[in-house]
Amino acid sequence: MGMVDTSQFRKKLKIIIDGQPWMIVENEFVKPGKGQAFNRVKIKNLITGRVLDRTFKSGETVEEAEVITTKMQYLYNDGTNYTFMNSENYEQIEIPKDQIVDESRWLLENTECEVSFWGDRVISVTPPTFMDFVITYTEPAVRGDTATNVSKKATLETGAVVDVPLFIETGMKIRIDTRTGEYLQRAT
Amino acid sequence: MVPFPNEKSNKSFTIQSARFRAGIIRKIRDFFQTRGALEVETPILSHAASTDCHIDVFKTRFEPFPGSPLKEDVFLQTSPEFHMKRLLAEGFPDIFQICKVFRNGEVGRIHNPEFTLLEWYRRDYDMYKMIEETAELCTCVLGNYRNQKKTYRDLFIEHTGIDPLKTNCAEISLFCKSKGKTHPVFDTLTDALQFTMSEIIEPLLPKDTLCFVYNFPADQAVLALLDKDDSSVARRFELYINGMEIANGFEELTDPEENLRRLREQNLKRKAMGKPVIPEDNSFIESLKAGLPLCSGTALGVDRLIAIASESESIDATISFRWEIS
Repeated sequence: MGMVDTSQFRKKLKIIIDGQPWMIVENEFVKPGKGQAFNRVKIKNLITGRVLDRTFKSGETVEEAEVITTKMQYLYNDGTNYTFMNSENYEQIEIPKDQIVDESRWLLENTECEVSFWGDRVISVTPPTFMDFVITYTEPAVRGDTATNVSKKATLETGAVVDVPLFIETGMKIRIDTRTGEYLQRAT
Repeated sequence: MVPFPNEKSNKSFTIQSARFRAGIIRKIRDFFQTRGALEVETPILSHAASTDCHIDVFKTRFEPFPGSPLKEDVFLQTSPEFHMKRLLAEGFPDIFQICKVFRNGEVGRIHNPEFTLLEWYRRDYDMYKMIEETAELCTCVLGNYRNQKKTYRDLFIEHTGIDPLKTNCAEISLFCKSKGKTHPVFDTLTDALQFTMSEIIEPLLPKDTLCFVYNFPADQAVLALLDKDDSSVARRFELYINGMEIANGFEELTDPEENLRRLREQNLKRKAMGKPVIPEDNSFIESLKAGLPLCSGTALGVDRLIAIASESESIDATISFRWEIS
């Protein structure tokens, strides 16, 4: 993949530093009136999630990280590995649970996700933004309790726990924004 | 009528921000007019330009007629200082100017390649008097801010424990790393000092305070006079307010030979950096031979001052259309 210089730095650009893939989270041009210009950059390691501050001399170049995103269907998990199938060529891959901690709570069988790879390495699994889930358990609403609580906890069929309005009951289907984990509406 | 939403519109610049800006520009003009300085205008386009190795100039071409083989490189000013000093050398009194200047490549939160500069010169002022007047101007615009004056050396030692006049790149590098700051390779000690200043010291300067830093190391003298008693420092000052560099002032170097030497020195640095050489301004050097009086000058970033006055962290709301949408 090509090289990029500091003038092409922008949020979400993926670059390779010391052999690791990083994403630019913040980028600021800094220049003393009578001094050398540089970019003050906050980067996030795409494998470990570690966030780091770095400075790059103006004009400095780095290698752009080639991140490929593929549509894959989630099939099943055995507790340690999650198995996905490429929707186009039906190839299957296993992703260790610790690499998709945040996203695993949204994975319903046969959900089509976007899986990003850096080389052979999986760096992110993104489920659809809006997904419907059946509630397996939530406390029944207590009459007269509306003044103090506007929401309560509900457990979804995947095991995820989300905040829902008081009128929601066990067995109902609800729509969730998977980016934030927010309840959106009742689903049918 | 509500303006139609448009991606190309500068949402942060409103009629209210235009009024605010106009009000501050008027205050600045009043300040100098009541103090007897003459407002001047000097050329924006010039045959010569600053040779400063860290400032990149916009170059264009003058053509006697379209398609003429006789073309000449001309430059947009990065500062009006050469022309203003020429006026002083011709016997002009105290002068001030509010003008557009251009610096290539500078785009960011507090940078725009085209920006408004206030520059003024006072005959018979030394650096200390110039600092006083700069503080008075800022007080006139911003109201009562606290005021702090420290030498570059004292400030540097206070925050790093390192004497900037007796250090080296390796020591600075080690210090930066100990503070968790990764830095680009330092080519020169000046680069290392400037990095430390902007990344470590500036954020520690007190808020809502006019922070004057003076007596810069001689390597950062630019066109300031070296101190008569201690040639390791120059009579140059900078003003920082809330993390922004607002103004830069010199007790001016008057000697034509030394001026020419410093312009050439910057061109040598440009060559070493692989940057194009800029013609030294001979008209400026010639004018100095007629005799530039003892004087001091300050350049102040007007857009940034307005940003400070409006408690904004960027200059976006101070300019009608940023570079990206101009």
